[in-house]
Amino acid sequence: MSKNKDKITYRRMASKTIQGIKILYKNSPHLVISTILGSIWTALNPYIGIYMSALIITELSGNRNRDRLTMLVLVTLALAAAVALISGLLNKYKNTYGGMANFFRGMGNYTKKQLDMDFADADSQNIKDAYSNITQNVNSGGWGLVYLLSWVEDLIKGVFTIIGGVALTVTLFTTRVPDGSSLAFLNNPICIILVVAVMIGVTLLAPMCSNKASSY
Amino acid sequence: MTETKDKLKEKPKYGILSCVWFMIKCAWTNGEKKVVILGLLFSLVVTGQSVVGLYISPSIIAVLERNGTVSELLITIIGFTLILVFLAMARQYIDSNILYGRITTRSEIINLINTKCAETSYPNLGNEKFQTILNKALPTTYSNSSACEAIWKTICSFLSNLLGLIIYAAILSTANVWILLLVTVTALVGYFITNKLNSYGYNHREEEAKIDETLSYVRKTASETSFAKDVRIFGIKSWFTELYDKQCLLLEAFHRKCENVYIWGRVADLVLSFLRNAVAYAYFIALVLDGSIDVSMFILYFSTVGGFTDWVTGVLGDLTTMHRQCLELSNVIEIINYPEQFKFEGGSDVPVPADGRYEIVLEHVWFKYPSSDSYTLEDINLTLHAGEKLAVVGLNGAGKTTLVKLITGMEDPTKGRVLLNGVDIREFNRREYYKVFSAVFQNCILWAGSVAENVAQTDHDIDYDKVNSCIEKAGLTEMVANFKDGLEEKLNREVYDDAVNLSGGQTQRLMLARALYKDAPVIVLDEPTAALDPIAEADLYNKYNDMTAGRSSVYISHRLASTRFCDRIILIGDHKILEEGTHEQLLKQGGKYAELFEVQSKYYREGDINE
Amino acid sequence: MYHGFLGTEDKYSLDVRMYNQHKMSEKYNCDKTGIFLSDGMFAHFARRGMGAFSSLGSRIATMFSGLAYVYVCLKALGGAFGIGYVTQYVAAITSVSGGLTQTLSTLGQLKANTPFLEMSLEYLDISHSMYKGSLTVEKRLDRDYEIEFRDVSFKYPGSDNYALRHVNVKFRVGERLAVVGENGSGKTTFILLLCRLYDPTEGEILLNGINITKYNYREYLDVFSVVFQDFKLPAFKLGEVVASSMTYDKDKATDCLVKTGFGDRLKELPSGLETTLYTEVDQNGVNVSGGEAQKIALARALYKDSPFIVLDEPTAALDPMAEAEIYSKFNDIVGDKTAIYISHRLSSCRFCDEIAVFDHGSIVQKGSHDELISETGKYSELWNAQAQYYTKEEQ
Repeated sequence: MSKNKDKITYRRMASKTIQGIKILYKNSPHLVISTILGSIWTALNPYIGIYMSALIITELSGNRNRDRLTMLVLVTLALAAAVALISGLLNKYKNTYGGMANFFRGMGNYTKKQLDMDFADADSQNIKDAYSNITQNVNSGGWGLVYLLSWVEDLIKGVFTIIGGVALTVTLFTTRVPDGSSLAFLNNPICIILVVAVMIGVTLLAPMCSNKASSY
Repeated sequence: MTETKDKLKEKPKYGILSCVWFMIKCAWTNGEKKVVILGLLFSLVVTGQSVVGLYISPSIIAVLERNGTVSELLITIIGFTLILVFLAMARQYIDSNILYGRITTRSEIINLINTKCAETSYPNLGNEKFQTILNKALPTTYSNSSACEAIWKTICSFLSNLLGLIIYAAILSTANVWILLLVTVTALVGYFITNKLNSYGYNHREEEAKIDETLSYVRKTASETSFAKDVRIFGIKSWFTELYDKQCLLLEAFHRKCENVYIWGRVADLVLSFLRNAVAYAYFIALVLDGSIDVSMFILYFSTVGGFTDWVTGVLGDLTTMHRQCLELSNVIEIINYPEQFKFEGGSDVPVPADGRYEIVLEHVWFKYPSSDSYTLEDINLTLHAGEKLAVVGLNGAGKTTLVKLITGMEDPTKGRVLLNGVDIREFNRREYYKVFSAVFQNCILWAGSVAENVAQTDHDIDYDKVNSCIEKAGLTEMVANFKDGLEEKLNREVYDDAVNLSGGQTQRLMLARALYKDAPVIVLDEPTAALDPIAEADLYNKYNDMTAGRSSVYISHRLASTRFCDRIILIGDHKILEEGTHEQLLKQGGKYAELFEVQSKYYREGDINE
Repeated sequence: MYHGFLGTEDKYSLDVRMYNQHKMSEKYNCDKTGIFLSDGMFAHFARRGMGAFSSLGSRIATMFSGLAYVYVCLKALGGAFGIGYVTQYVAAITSVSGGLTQTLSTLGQLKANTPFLEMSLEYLDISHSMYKGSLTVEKRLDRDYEIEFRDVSFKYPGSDNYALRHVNVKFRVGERLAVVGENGSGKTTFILLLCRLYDPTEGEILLNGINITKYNYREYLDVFSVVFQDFKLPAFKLGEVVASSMTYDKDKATDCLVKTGFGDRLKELPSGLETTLYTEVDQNGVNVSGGEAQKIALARALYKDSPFIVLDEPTAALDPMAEAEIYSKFNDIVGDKTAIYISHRLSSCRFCDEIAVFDHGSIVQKGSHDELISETGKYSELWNAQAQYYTKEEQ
């Protein structure tokens, strides 16, 4: 059972990863759900803080209305407390079903398979080697099935971080510089497109580099 | 439960400083100096990144507040960006390179432990304290996240947290010392509360360990091929599956209990944060409103307040982790430095007798295992004369193997002495003493090397002529001739995929060849034919006869048939030597030996078996 | 890691000292060219290309942020919005940049993980070929089962040599068959085929006239109770081990243990059937000797109460007294079941009805002890090789 040396396409990665997650879901639905919800929440909740503190600073550098400031501060603190509580609860679920429980349930799939397979297979050197490879992979870098969920979690976190950030940044592009200023050229749609294009271009360079790194 | 609490309060033999020093010394002296140096650099870089990150926003905002020029703005931004880029590069580079050095250091520690176990006085292995410490030390070396490697991360993290703490404290103190105090106090209180609560899991880890052990055991057993047959015949799959699932549920239940405790820690954290941030907001906003500081300073101070708490928590957290990791590492150091009861380098050499005759005497030897209350052997007096073939028989558990361990110097007598040519063996360098013996024990290792390496027990300076002659005497010439690589054929499939599997009989003969190669003056054979068929067994008896000619030998068996080629037979029972003599003499005596012989030979005689 | 942990393996400790074996291990452990070590493959790459590219990747993410800050600040300087919004945009953009890096690197990881994942999924998908049959095995109270090997030959997968060649044999009800032969002659392979742990390469095996592959696999396995030479008792409760399940019939278990001679020891155990065997799982477990383990394994076979009982070298680890005890209880243990008894101790053949002699994979002789001893052949050769030590003094 050696590795398939064909080029790994995103499609192949996606289908195998989904297959893996389905198995993990059967093992422990609680873990998968709480992890995914947790990752979305962790990705989005910092933006609450960012938004609120932006409001406070706007007020501080603008009208400096005491009452409004007090209200903003109290709302910020209350939201922070609520966020912490919800995060705590989600973490609680994740930790109950994750960690060692996840490890054992994951490896349990192989154990049950071993107890179940034909004796000719259980006795076969190939299959024994495959199992020891699988175990080694899990121990040496978390490769394989058992810790798959943590990568998926990171992926979802990353994606929603981007979504949340973009949501808060939209107004950056829509607010116009007042026409009298010397920097009014920034309003020009071409400029906007240029900036965005450079941003995206630069962004895509980054993964190319890290892919080159891991292809070693 | 109090027993557990006491165990937890036990002071480790080596404290945090000793353990850290041990790791540094280990890395430094093994050509991995970079682990230490890069580690220090890493801490600096990490702290540097945080500090720079702290100043970016305030600096840019400051420029905007003053309505500075475009060029001023660009210079500030580009400046910061370049610094950050440089720091990030450095960090990445260090990260990639330091890992391997750490892994190597861990391997080095594994080697140290392994050598100790292989070389240590044999009784240490049976010693409960030694085993306990060893079992605590070994897991620290298993993986990247175990103490032997993870401690580096903790040390680096601690250094960077400490540095960050100092820098941020300096910044806050320029605002108001009371704020600094408030933040410190809330951080400390929060930390201690959460820590107390978080140790719930650690305090109850025995409960979790038990579940872990059961689950690991099921996993291990299910992967064993020899067990696979039993599994299918007895339908063990459903039992184990049920057991495994149940234990997983128990594990989750345990964690649920722990988490229900931990959540209160978060609540405490939450409340303290609320208080701290409320005060910080109130204070710094007031400062802005009355014009003492501008908005960019507000941002700076407020971020510092948040960051400072993280540093405090970080420092305290790292101290706790280090404490825990050093508790584990202390076991490693203890094992490596475990005292030896045998003399090794300090002992004298074994004098080679002029006439080549070795005589071993057991003088009023009493022996009991440390964990036992009663003596296994009582008042044994035995002389193994030079060139004598001695057979030791007795029922299972009578003490035959213990006797052999005493003769070969693996164990020392509790009372009495063991003498080699008149000298107490405790005087000798024990490793030199072992050279006097060639042994075939019950459990023999098939070394992961070639046939020749196994026979010669070394991988250099192999005398191939001698190897061949030993192989011939053991009756393995044909087997070796059939191997693809002849003498270079690899054995032991654990390491070599293309190794050949030897049968029980072939393995036994190889052990014989090995003992012959060592060519030692005294030969010890411990029940070597248990796994063989009648013809192979008979053949081997003949070979032992040839092999032991001219040497002293001790032969243990409970197949009384085999003892006929020996000069003298002793029967061990009731912790003593019960009977002694030649085969014929003992049969005539009509004692226990004769009784055992009768029982074994009954079926081999002609006639009705139901006599 | 074989070399890494050699010194700590308990059972080899005598050998290691006698032959100073750890010196050879040291060479392997100290060798730094292992794949993960500092002189090894990955480390070399890290110092050169891999490390450089890694850091280039993060450099770019930072430059992206820098660019974004410039845009935001220029707009702010131009008066589009106040510094409050600046903090918001700056923080949001930093966040997005971080999110992007994380997303991309995670995608990279997931991609790298795909081959490993495929290996795992492939392993979990290994199919059964043995479970295709569906006939129920008739439960016959009169235990009238008949098994027949018809011209069976067998090669282990991956091997070129035949382990069994043209084996033809029939079992009668209630018969006690002894199987003897040298090591490697095919005795254990014969058993593995009989129990259907392997399927024959050629020929067929029939149960009551029907090919065994047609039967429901689990039901067929239930026809046999086997004590293998390398049997293992899991380190759980004695009662559970005997019954091979979490729930067990206390009386039945005790009865089986008494039958195999473990009764006295059982009375000594403070927790009786609830005692855990060995100390691997429970430190308060009880270590049983080789002989005692043999008795428990026999009890386990009895508990299953199958019509066929197979014993493979059951007295190899026992001393003469214990061995004699088993022989004398053989009748009790086996009862009216069909028994197959493999042993090196030819003495045990005396109480079997028939003996099959294996040599190089075939049955060369078959008959009762008296018949075989008078023929010149493998059996008398084996018998005399063992008996010579016990009968000489009669002359």
